Amino acid sequence: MKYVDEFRYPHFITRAAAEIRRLAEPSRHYRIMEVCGGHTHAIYRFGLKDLLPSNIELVHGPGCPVCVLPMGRIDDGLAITEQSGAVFTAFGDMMRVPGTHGSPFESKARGRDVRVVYSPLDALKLAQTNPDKHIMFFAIGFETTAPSTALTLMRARAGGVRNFSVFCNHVTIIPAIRAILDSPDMRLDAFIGPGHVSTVIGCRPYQWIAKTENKPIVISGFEPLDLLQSIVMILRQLREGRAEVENQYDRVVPWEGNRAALKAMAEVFQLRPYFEWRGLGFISQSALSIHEAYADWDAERLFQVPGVRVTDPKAAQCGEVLKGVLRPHQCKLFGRECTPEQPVGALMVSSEGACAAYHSYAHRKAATSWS
Amino acid sequence: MGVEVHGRGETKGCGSCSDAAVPVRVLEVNGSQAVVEDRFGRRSEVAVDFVPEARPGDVLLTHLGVAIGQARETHEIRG
Repeated sequence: MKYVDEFRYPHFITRAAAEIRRLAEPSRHYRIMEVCGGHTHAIYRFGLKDLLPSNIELVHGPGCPVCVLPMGRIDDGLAITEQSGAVFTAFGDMMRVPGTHGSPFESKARGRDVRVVYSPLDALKLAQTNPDKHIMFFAIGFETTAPSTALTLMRARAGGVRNFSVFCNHVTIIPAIRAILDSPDMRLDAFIGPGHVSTVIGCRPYQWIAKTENKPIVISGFEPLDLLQSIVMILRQLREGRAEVENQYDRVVPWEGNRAALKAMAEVFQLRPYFEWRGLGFISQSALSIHEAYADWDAERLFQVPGVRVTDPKAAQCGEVLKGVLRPHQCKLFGRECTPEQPVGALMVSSEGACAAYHSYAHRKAATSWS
Repeated sequence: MGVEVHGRGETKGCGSCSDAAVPVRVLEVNGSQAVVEDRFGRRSEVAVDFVPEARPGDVLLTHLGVAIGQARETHEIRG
């Protein structure tokens, strides 16, 4: 399958890195934000920062849905299951995210019925095979994940499965980018756009970034060569004074996105007036709730939601890291009180979180090189 | 670090991360489900509701058991 391996060939990677060095003007400092957590993870995993000149700074964006979920939503989800006796199901990544009274796994240790599922469709199957239990799926993710939740709800309704519901925490990427650009302490030159989100939403929704904000954005794949090629394309735009939406990942991302997935999302979801993002605060029209037509499967309508609001620990500087103002290791807690084994801040919980990725790769590398 | 996901053709990565998706080749289509194989030869079943034109031999991008797009194999590597 010509899809992955070709984008890891050392020869092409060396060539792309040389082109980056040629295009980067020594007198200029470039700040490029990779929006998505998958890119952050790939940058550290493949050591791509080591291939870049020191005046190209990659700023980590808000694209890890586990990281930006406020702690209060985890408390709400667990409270629903504790009050109602419903089975709490979620992806494995969610299970170690701490709420006020512990994570879903800790809730399981206290006797609650908490189960990991690989897909929302698996949670639906669980409901079909356990008609005496109510299965609640804790939905999280951007536009790549939202279609699978939409499909699950469509199948639940079509199959008349009434012992299943979704606690919806899906968020949308464009308002988050807008919030970052509106942040007064943020200076960015360009964006590396999310690859798989764009498979669903296409390239058109990013056009305002180029036209109104006058910043290049290149939709990128996740292999080392993908990311380096995207940086080459950004540097060429900046050098030529252009600001456009370009698609490096055109082997996967169609300009118009996936119409069938967008149609399903439009049928099942509606925009919330506002939603809280951990580290970024309330952002208007940045998240999805379940449409009234699917009210019978909406956990927020079926059960009483406490609506817990929890302030992050003051010492944790997740917000500054999320906005790219601080590097992960510049947070006061990084690597001491806050580690992947004992996360305090959300960015340390998920492997795609900027702090966890930095800790797993760059931090370890630094420790090795000192020894 | 988040629990890493294996199986169903997924490589390592955060399952809920919206940008974790993997390419698979279609072996067989049965209505809205398809049997697919990843590049390591692991087989699984995925929903193809969002890629209704999928045929055996096609490469799909899958996310959490659902195909979200069709991938084009590339012979062109841009430098």
